Amino acid sequence: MTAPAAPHGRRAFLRAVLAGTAVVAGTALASRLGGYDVDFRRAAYLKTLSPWHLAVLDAVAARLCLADVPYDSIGAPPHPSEVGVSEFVDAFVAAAHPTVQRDVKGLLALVEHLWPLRCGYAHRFTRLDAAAQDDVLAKMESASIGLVRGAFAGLKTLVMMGYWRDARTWGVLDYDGPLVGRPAGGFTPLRYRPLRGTP
Amino acid sequence: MMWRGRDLDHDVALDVDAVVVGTGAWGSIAARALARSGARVVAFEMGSDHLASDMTQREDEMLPALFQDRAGRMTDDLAITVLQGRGVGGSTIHNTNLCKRIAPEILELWQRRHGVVGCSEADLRPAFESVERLLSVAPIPDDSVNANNDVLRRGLAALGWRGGKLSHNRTGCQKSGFCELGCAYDAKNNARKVVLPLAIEAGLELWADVEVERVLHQGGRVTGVRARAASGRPIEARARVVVLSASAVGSVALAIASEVPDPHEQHGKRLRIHPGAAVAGVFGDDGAQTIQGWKGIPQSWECTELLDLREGSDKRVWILPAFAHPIGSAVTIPGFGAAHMRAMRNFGRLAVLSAMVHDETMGHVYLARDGRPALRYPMLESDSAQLALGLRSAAKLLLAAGAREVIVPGIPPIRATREKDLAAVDASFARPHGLPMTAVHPMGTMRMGEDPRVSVVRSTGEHHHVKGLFVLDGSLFPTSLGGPPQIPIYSMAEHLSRHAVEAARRG
Ligand SMILES: Cc1cc2nc3c(=O)[nH]c(=O)nc-3n(C[C@H](O)[C@H](O)[C@H](O)COP(=O)(O)OP(=O)(O)OC[C@H]3O[C@@H](n4cnc5c(N)ncnc54)[C@H](O)[C@@H]3O)c2cc1C
Ligand code: SF4
Repeated sequence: MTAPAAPHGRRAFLRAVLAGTAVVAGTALASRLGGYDVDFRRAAYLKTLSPWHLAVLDAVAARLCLADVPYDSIGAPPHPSEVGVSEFVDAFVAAAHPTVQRDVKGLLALVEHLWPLRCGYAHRFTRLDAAAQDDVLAKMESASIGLVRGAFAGLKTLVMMGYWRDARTWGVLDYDGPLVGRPAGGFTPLRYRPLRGTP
Repeated sequence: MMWRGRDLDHDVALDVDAVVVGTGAWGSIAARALARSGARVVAFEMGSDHLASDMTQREDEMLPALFQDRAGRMTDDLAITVLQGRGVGGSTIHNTNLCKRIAPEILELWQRRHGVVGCSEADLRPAFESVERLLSVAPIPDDSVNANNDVLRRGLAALGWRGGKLSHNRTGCQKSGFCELGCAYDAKNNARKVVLPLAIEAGLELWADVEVERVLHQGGRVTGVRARAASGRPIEARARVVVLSASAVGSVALAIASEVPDPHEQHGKRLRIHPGAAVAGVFGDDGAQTIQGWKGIPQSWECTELLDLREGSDKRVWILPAFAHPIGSAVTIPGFGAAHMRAMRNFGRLAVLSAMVHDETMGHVYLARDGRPALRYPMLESDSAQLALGLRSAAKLLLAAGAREVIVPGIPPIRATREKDLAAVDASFARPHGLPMTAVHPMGTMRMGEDPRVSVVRSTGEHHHVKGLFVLDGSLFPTSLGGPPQIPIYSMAEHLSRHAVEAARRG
């Protein structure tokens, strides 16, 4: 048994996103595709994403994690760029199955190109001001199309993982982090260890 | 003996009596039974072997290491996150150690409606008892109830609702609270610590980092498996018995990929998952840290007021505490930006309860075009209504325990300070995409029964159409359990593995 007819299947949806993005690319909106300003030193270390993906992730992370809150007024959590959210997402996705890598790239194309258009903006996400970016993301989070909501949740998961994994963010939560490395007592030794090597 | 497939540098051909695919709750017990019988048995596990010293208590490292698809497995509409284990010990490595037997109502239903034979409560009692002894199952001590669980206890007392303290399988627990990320203190009496060493002592050869790609069969008889080590090297094992214990998703995916005969198109059908969602209560005044729910044993109390497991019941929700670490919480808290950050700053003052549905929806597992398993779960309105009932009731418990405000994390979220503000939490709200949903108990997909038109395996676990092929894991449950699956799975394994042993002897 292979995939049954899946009008709303996620693969079909992401294919549609990619096709839609290609249509956008083919129109007079060529200006939407160039001119990303990404530091070449950061770009050089990318594992699977392209520099423009990094620019989209930087912009999304800035809105998702903190928006306009003046950092020092809420106990100085770090800015997402300080904790390397986009680089984390790149490395995380690079270790995933090729289908997932393709899906995430399709998702970033959706955020950058297709969804702002759908929300009535003529510019791509990274060229919108903060209020418009928030509007695009909020409309994605509450979209009537379930898969778009799902896509937003996926993007939020990746970004939040990249942000809240960093110990510098934990002070805001009063979270004390892993206990390993501190005295725990009562350690039960393992009853067997695997052999390295093979027969 | 245990080997690591990632170190394998040559092709391997094995000739054994039995192969076990997957080393979770069921696979470990089946492997032990086969090895003890004197059979030459090999177990293949696609995931790695994680030592207690590998558990870093960090979400970003352990979630991708211990879960299938790097913890990114979802239903195909991207609505429900489905968490399943991957690694030596399977889901018992990261589970939260709750232990309950299969309810008598469920076993009776399986016999009466689904033609299951030999699995009555009396038939299973010896298996329940021996598994509970093996895993040192005991009531969770009073002094191990953390503040988040105490909120549930207080809520139950205030409302006069049914519920109580749970049993668990831990010894030497340090109450670190990191159970879902693996135990760094090896306190969990799980398949890797307790059962697999006994199987290895009895002669099991266990291969970690080896994925079985195909079950080999010919003329209605199983002949072995073809597998691939993480190093890329192929392994072929000839055997007259193959036991699929690769979970309710993995086993059926393998059967479909292997073109195991399925004349009545039953493979993958009737997937149940216990879909669940959470409600948070805010306690204390600004700045006060009153709960710190991440500390201590994560789940020690349950609410069963809304859980009646008799057929046709309109109470099908189980309420449990459910606290997450920062990443899990950040993902579940609705919204983003400044509002999200403000909500996160309440982290230490939140108590969180989850509602899990004893589901009637029948989803299914199929193979996506890239060959990976995919899950479809068109949630029934009746199950959404149960989830809504569960969320309203969880909110009521939180308010009764003294929460200032409760937050149901839908899109948009519902905030309430009084019970009557919760009316909007209804079936249309508690639907896929309406709020973040998680499922941690996939079951069904290759159900047991004596009628091959509506079941996949006999009541012995042997496939109706392929001799020597056994499916022994959560796949064979004909309905949802309405409770935690590990003891049911270990015990059914203890009860049914003898049939695989006999088949290996018979040849
Ligand atoms: C977060 C979480 C908390 C939980 N808490 C509890 C709890 O408190 N109490 C409780 O009773 N239950 C709990 N559960 C559920 C319970 O742990 C599982 O339902 C149960 O362990 C499943 O056992 P299994 O043997 O059917 O499958 P699994 O444990 O999933 O084992 C299947 C194994 O097969 C391997 N595999 C799959 N395909 C292949 C292949 N092709 N080749 C080789 N290997 C393969 C997998 O890597 C996996 O290790 C929890 C689950 C989760 C996710
Ligand atoms: S709470 Fe206990 S069982 Fe869970 S991870 Fe900590 S020490 Fe291990």
